[in-house]
Amino acid sequence: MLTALTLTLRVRRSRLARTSSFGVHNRDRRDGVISMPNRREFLQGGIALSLLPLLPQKGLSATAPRAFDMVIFDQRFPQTRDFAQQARGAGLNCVAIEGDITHLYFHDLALRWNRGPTAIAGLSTKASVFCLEMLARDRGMRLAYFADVLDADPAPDIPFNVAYRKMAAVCSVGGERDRLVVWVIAPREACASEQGEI
Amino acid sequence: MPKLPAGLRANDFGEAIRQFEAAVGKQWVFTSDEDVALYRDSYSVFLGEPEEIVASAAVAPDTVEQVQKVMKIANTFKVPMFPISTGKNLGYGGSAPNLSGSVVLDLKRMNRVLEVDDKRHFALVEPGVSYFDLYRYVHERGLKVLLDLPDPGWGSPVGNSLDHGVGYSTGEMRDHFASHCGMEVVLPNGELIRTGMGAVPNAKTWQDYRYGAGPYVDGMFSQSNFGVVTKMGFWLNPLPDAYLSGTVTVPKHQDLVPLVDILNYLENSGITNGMPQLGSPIFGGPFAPPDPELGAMMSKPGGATPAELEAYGARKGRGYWSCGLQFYGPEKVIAAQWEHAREKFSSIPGAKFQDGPSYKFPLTPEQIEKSHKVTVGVPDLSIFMIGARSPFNANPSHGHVWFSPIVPRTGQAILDAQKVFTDAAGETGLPLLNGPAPLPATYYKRAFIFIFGIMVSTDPSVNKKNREAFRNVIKIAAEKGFVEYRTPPAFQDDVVATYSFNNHSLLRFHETIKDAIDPNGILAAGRYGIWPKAMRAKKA
Repeated sequence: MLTALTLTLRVRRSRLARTSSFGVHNRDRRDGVISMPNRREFLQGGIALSLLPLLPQKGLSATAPRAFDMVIFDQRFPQTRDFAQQARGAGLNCVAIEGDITHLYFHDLALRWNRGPTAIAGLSTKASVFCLEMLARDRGMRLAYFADVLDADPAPDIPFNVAYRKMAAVCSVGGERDRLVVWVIAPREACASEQGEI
Repeated sequence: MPKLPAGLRANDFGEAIRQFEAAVGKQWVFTSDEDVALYRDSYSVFLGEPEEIVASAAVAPDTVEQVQKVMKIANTFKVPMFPISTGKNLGYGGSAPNLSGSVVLDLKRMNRVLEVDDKRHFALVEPGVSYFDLYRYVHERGLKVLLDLPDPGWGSPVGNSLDHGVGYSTGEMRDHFASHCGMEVVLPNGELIRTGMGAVPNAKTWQDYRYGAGPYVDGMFSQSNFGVVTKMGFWLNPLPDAYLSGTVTVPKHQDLVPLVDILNYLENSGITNGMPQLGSPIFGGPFAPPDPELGAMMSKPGGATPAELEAYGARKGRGYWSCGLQFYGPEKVIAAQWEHAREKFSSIPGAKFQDGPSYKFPLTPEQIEKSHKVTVGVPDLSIFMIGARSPFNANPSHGHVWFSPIVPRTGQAILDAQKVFTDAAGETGLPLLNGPAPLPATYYKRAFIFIFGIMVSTDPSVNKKNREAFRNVIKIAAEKGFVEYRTPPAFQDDVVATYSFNNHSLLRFHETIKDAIDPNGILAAGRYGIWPKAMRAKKA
């Protein structure tokens, strides 16, 4: 599987998931606050960041569609929808979530990962990638890249209902916004070297 | 470089690692910083501090024979081992050991569902099986059972039950340890035992009859360090015909006492079999927008009196207390049970009733989506979305630990406990309360559990202060007889110390057993206060 992929991701050790079993929002706490990367960091980060709409369109067109088995985006937020649109334009397999990853995990990822580790990327809230990373690590994958990049656009205040938990995560408070994070989860072997090929 | 076990020479540790690799395969022994870091407690209260308890390595066997080999190697070199199933026990320690330098015995590869019988209603599973795995097995085969699930559902039935975890369906099944039947255990010396009827070579009743003959020893392997459980049977709910729910509200502060008495009667009689949910609608629920009138009443010195709150509730048309009921069974039967429950609660003047959702099993995808999934047997992770920023969680945290004392199942005990915990929060500064009238969870049929989440901070000084306060609250609550049923490793010594009858004779008994079956003290040293003899001497 890995050898079929064409892109090389320069996985910088400082960005590796050294302590990856962090809790919700715990990336910051383990490795220090990762601020919004600058352009150089974007480029060094490789494909995951080149997926961002923050980069020129040519960055997307230069990516190889087979680099990731799946690109996950949280469709509740305008920025992530834009991100997905551009990623789809680059030929990537995009899958939507709404915060909760249960359905995606049970009906797709768990089955996919039964066949072996894969590389996936996404733009989501921290809570979503926390769950994905915790599940992925049991199947031979690691969080290879994680950066806190965007304020989520505020969403309407929706009354909480336990039956509609996903709505709870789209609310904003007093002008504060949730943060969106870009991330890559990749096979352990790809993360184990300075320059893993995924 | 991972932290090595204390007192172990690097050469011996290296040789143990080499022998582990020979036993399970080199790719299943983890020693790199990146790999070992995965076993840190995501919600550690020692975040960023040198006291954080961390592993030295991890080994992941695939079979019981490999577990036996690993334990024998560990005994040879006196390597401390810490078994985990899926390691998702967040809030109670995650996958981190009690003793730094331990090698995590990661049982995730032992993930086989060995049997599910939907005529006798049981399952037999290995420790790496998650609730998702078990649900998939049942779902794909169309087996007519209803799983009892914790929330979230990514943990394992074995690990959850061994830590006295709980679920959300019927009273008989919500206590996961109580609903198990039969174990297979690798003892610290590598010897294999099966409990109950599993000890009888030709018996077909391992998951039917739990006691066998002689002492019933299964409890020794929960919240302990006496063995590595490699198989475990669980009783399951038959798939019910239907589900029904309803809510009763009562208007007066003191109505909580008869409300709980009647609830106990109904549950202990089997008239209501689903998990009840106590509430205080007068406060609008934990997620309601703030009401200035109520806020003004509550913020005055001494807070609002019960009489003032009762009058406020009457004006707003809200009950003071509520109790949600859930029923599983044949449609006609559960309708009659709900009717009977209404009759019983009608003895409380002013009681009002509201019908809730009702379904026939199997539910449609749309019905599942609208339900609290774990109550209808569908594993779920959406609870993690509550941790995201929202109107009721303006400052998302970095994890939490649970303070979870057991309280008698009476209305008066709830009121007493509310005062104890309110006072304790004020005295210690521990941010303990999640509302003006915290109410207990009802997982167990015969006891209440108050569950308070203490947030972990990025600021070590805050965590240090909270740890100290947490320990003080444990003592304050224990003085009133409210002690915890489960706690993270950081507080296990403190909690066990409150079980102090007859000069801690229970703990001394546990230590006697430990010394007898694990003389080298290699297995999960310190778990729930049980330290090996050599370490006890050092601690003393």
